[in-house]
Amino acid sequence: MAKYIGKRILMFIPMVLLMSFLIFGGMELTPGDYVSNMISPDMAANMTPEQLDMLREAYGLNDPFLVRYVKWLGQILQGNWGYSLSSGVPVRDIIMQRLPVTLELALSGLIISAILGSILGIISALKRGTLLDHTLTVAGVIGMSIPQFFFGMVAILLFALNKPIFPVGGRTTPDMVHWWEHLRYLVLPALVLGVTQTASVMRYSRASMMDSMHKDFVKAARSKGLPEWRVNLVHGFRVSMTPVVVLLALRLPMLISSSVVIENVFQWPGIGITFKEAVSAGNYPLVMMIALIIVIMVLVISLVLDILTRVLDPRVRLE
Amino acid sequence: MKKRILSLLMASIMVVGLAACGNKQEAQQPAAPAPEAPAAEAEEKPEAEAPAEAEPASGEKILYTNTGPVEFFEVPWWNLGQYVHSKLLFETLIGIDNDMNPTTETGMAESYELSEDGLQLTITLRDGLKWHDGQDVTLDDVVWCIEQTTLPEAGMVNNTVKATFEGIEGVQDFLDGKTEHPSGIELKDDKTIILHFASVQPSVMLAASLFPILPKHCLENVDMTQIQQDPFWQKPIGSGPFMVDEVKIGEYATFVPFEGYWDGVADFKIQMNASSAESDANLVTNAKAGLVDYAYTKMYSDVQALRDVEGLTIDTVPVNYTRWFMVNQYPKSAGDENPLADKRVRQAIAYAIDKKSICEQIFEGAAMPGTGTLTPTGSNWKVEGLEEYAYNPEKAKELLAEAGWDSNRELDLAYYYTDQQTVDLMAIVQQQLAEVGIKVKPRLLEGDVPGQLNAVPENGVAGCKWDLAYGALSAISPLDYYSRFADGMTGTFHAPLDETLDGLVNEMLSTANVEKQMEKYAEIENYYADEIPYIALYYQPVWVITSDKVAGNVSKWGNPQFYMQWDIQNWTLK
Repeated sequence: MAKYIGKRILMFIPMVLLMSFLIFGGMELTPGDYVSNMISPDMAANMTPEQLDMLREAYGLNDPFLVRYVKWLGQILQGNWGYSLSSGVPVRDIIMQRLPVTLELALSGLIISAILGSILGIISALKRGTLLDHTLTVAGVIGMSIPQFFFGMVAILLFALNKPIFPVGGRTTPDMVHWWEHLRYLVLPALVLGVTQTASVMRYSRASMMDSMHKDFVKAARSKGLPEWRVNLVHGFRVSMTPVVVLLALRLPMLISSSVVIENVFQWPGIGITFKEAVSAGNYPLVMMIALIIVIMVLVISLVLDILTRVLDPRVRLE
Repeated sequence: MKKRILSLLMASIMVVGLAACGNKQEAQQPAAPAPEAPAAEAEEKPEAEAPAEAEPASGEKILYTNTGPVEFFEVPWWNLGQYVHSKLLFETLIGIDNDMNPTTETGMAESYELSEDGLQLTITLRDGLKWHDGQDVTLDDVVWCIEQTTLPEAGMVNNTVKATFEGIEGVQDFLDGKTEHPSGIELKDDKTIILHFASVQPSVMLAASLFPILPKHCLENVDMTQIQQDPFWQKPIGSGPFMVDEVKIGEYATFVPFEGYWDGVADFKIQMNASSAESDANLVTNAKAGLVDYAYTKMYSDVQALRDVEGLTIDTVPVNYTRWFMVNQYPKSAGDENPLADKRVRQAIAYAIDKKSICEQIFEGAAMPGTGTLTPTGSNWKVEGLEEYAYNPEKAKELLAEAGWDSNRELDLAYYYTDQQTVDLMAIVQQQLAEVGIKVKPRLLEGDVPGQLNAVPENGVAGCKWDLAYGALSAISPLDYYSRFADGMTGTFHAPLDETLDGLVNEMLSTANVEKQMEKYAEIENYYADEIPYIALYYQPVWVITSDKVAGNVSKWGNPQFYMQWDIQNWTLK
């Protein structure tokens, strides 16, 4: 096992390097650069080409692509994550400030979707073919079809504007003293994120549960005279959870990158919005580090998943 | 064993979750104590309009607004007064009233005097001006700021301001390192500065009135190309009526009254939600939730969404903002002829577009149709009796026939705004032009939009690929509207230099006498109305949104995009 883990970690290095090159190259291929994005067309009409060129020089944008990539990589290897082109704030500070905020939202959404999705999926599988199963299947399809932003706006309208139970958005206010006071700001975005993810988890766990219920070991358990709840929950449920856990774990980094919609709707100051703004502004030091962190998270999580799969299913061998 | 691993995993997830939740703890400071609002006043706001989060826990008075910093506080020399926080934090050298005339009722200057020949501006600072950190505002700060604007690397400075201060005597020697300061900057005493100009600067008073002074002691070591990236702009210090209290970049910023302000101290705090200045996507939601007491918007869709909300007032404020079609008159290749270089074709386009119906359909009459000139209707500078190019498709067809227009030719109509109004407008224009035999194909510009809009022509061949481009002109004054047609300015990137127009503009800009400026301006308007190198579509106002919490008449606050005399420290909040 230790040898396997060591090997996988060593493989991370070329993969991360390749990904960083591809992301840097991808940014290079997008039209425009930081200066052309920073200055609005209306403002640019009042600037001379020399002034624009001077700004590009100051930001090091006049260097060739490879030179900029190597410079950036050299900085990273020295532990310097660079500075945001727009604000001059160290990229490390921005990420350390924004990533936990998104993790908080993403984990909350993930937990909600995992609990709701697993329970509903198992119920659906155990009640296969019944009205309840059909209802949950239809609800799942609807849940997957509703865009997050729409769901979010409806939630704001119902629970923040019409009935002001929760705030319309944001994460903190100046008069907060204790950290838990901001949890009421988390409720709506986390619920929306969680519920919109529930449908796919539910369908996945339903299929997985149904699959495991036909396995020999379940039949064997049942033939031994074990109570039905024990057959379902201890034998069937446990094995059916393996693919669901994989789905959930791999969803976490995706939730971080895709949380931009929820963050926008609920004014949640997370990394998703920051990433979107950095990409559209051509702020490459920030884009690169956020993307790299997501890449590393995916790699680490996939490794953890392999180990977890081995733990959940003794038949799996790690080689 | 497996159970232990699973337990450990669950525990780790919980720890990460809690750590994430707790990350902001240290940043949360208890709100500063402030005088409590009288109980009766606090109860006035109906429950439906004031959800829980809009009521401060301490009972103190808070004005909610938007355009808080998304990443940083913008350097206020760039977009003059566009951000509410700029006007709270900084003060201009000379004050400016709601009609954009200089005044000593606001601003740092106790008095000012422009010599008759327009070559000498004397300014005396008020006594007792302070920075928010307690240091004195001195002429050293003023001199430093003026000097910085003249540096070639100072890109983030409004062009009118930059051009004006570059006109000070001895600037070139200063830039060449021959002198420590421009010789044209004279300090008469520790309060009075005299600026000597080498030539008349037509916008000198406007420049001085829109130029906020920054603290030298905080910024003197900054590289001007990257002034915006200095940490100063994460929590700036100014000399205005409010000072920054707490900043959560991307979330909100709070401001408290500056006790050392010379013109009164407010009795309320300000909380500013982070948003873009141009379009606040959350303005409607926040306003409906009672989180906006003062804001302005350029988006008519915001007005439509908020006009029936109880407790909010929306006022239309005319500004110098024109939406227009730029016309690329250069040939696309050497030896080619561009039919748009023929003014009859441009006139035909202007006649073929029903600007009045566009304003009715898209803005429900809130915008004003553009006429043959750039100056908005209603401006003091507007010359009456000029050709307005009212909708006349028959006239358009006649002109096209005269010009020998090839109806098979398709014009590339570029645009870069992505809002629905623009998309609708493009469709309407496409249809209206098709009715007179002009085919256009709208195309959204992406990527390096400024570069595509203002590509410099080479050897008489167009640098820009488009034929017509939908854009905006925001001018700080009528003079500014036409200054772009002078030699070397962007007007010449889309059309060869028009020597007549260039001459008229230069004559207008060579005098500081307003009457003479207006005289020349009238000539330009006449000439422009005939030539229409750019086709004005409509003049768009901005809309100021105020809640009932703010007492007073919003119309007195004037143009919200500039440092007008809004006197915010003396507002009364219910």
